[in-house]
Amino acid sequence: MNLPAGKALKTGLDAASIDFSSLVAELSNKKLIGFACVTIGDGSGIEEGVLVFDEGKTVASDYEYLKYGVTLFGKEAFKRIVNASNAKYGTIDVYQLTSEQLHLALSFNEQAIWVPSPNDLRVDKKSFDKSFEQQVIDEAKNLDKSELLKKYKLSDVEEKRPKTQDERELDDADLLNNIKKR
Amino acid sequence: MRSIVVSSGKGGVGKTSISLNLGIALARLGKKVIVVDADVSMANIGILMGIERTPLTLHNALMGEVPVDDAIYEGPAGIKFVPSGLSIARASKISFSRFEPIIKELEEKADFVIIDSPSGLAIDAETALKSAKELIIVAIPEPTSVADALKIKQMAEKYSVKTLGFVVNRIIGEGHEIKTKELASLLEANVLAEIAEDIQVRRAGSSQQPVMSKYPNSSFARAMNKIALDLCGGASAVAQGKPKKGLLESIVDKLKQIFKR
Ligand SMILES: Nc1ncnc2c1ncn2[C@@H]1O[C@H](COP(=O)(O)OP(=O)(O)OP(=O)(O)O)[C@@H](O)[C@H]1O
Ligand SMILES: [Mg+2]
Repeated sequence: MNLPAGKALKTGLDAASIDFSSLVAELSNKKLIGFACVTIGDGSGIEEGVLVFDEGKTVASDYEYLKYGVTLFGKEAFKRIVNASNAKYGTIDVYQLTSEQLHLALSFNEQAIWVPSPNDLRVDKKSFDKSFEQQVIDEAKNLDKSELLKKYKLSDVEEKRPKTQDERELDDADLLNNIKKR
Repeated sequence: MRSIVVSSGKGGVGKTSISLNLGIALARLGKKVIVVDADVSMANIGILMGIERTPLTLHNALMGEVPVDDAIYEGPAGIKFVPSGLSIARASKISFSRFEPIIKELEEKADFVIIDSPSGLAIDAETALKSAKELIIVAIPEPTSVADALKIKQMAEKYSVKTLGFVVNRIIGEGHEIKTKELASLLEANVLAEIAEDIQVRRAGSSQQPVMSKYPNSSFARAMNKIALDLCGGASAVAQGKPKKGLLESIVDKLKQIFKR
């Protein structure tokens, strides 16, 4: 998410020893304007989730798999943030923003906006689930360019770059020469 | 300053509608905009705005009969535009050698020169493409459109025209359509906007008024505003103070410490 860094309130909390639900409850009670950022290394690459609060209400979230350059938003991201809070190797940081910074940031991250129901926020402590990352890997495979070219029968297009004007003129010149030679 | 060509290869995908309305969206953000109708055989921009009295056109400038200044007209919302002529007889005689210098000249006069390319990849479309510094690809979610878009992108690379990204237009939302993510992977380009099939675009066209004026709240108009904002450096305005990537580095350092525990 495109966010200003803001003012650090808590840094380097150990994800493994923190109860995520109570952290979210605490930030809600304190009417936080800002965001919590969880960064983990339990998967095959680093993953980072951001949960944005406006006066204590959760208003946006995203989750990024840095290794695959894939970012998910909203509810999908939130599920992964909850999962990340169960990671062994993870840190959580909390930052405060001004109200202006937050609203400007939200207007540029519209796709991340998601307001969960109280039910969504009730989460149990579970163990870290690696299948979330696998989903992303599988999807990345489905979005592989050469696979897609095959799927839509477009492989030829990539091989044959259209000729530029200059190249076409050269071809024409060749053709003329050949004709003259005959 | 900037010159952006709107191309697709495939015809009828929305190049002209996007060129004109994106131009208006940029003008509303306070930019000086000139929209150039480079479709010399199928001039459309003037018709879309319902403006017909444009005696001198790009044709005359390309033939060297008049300076391009004489073919610049006032359009809606403060945009300026250079129409193409409607006569076929003239269009068939046009030479394109003056096109690029004309665009360079217009760049001096505006913040954005938006060039509405003809379809295909013949000399007219190729000239429009290579005369611009930047490219917006328009595609619809169909294989034929992807094939054409790929060719446009390759041609742009050949001429070092920077691809800003692509717009997917006329999305119906049916399962058989190529998904935007797939398009992004195929074209190896950013998504600038996804636009649904929107009857208001056709209605605006029939009433010869730009969508931006007639239906400012339509999904099409909102997409134009979004692209215009992006072009004006929208997101970078947010990064007040330290951007988050710097933050990430410190977090990675911290992670390393935790791994050591
Ligand atoms: N999002 C949309 N929803 C519905 N109709 C649209 C949309 N975009 C464009 N159209 C309609 O599609 C038709 C073709 O649009 P337009 O003329 O802008 O395409 P073009 O790519 O410039 O075509 P050409 O290749 O002929 O120059 C027009 O009738 C236009 O009103
Ligand atoms: Mg057109």
